[in-house]
Amino acid sequence: MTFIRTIPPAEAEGKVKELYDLDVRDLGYVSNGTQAMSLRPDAFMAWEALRKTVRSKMRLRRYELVTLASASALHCTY
Amino acid sequence: MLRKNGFEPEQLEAVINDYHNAGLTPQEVAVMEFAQKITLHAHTIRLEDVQRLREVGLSDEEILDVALAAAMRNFFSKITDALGVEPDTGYLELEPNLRKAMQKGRPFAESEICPHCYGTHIIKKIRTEDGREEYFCPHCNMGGLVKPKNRYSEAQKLQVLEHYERYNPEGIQKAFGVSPATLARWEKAKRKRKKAGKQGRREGGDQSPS
Repeated sequence: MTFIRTIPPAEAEGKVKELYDLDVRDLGYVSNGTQAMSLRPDAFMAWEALRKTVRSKMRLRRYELVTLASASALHCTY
Repeated sequence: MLRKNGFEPEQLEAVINDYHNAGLTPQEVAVMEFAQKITLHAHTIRLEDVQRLREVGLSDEEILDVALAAAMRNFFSKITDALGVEPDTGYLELEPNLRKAMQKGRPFAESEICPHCYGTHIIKKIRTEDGREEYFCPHCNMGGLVKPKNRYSEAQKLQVLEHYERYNPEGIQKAFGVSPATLARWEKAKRKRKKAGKQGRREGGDQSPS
């Protein structure tokens, strides 16, 4: 569930469909986080590009520990 | 994600609960401390904090990477929280204790989770007597109503309990609609409180010589 309207995977077209397909390829499902930003696919793509760039320079283990420390401090379950 | 990258559930749980005592290297702990500080109060970060990262072997490029990754997580978390995005059901595949440790903020899709042990395989059925929904968790053998109908105030509880000694539980159920099991639970809680209260007074009396 999300507080704003999102595009259900079955109705996705164009850029949104591309993003959803990437999720399915990587995760096996469309993540709620991706769906939440489905009304602004360009912003989401830019975000993904940034994330990929930063992650590519780091060892995955360190990247995930940093993510965990931050998410934990934010009381974020996601 | 870490779960898939060489962390056992026990260690991951330990990292979430207290990363200082989870068998991480000093460098990993320092990196997590820095990320936590960025998240909680970035404005208090001083040169010494960055110096600490250099001491444990990070290059300036790596320090920048840590700051970027931590800030990115903040960016993402603020969006998901602002929009009420629930964690993906993929998290439900995780071990119950691990999920419990992770569940710090917004709950996972609540209806599917046992509130006692956070197990995911609860069984739900409609009770035939009154059509209300019950659940049972085979993992911890606990169960109850999915949505309790009534929430009684403390005053209401006391009022009903006054009748406890004089009438049988079935009579009370007829009069107030409180089930005998609920009544027994209240009575038990009341006795416990009384006991704790008495003990507290006794201890208090010992301290003040009269």
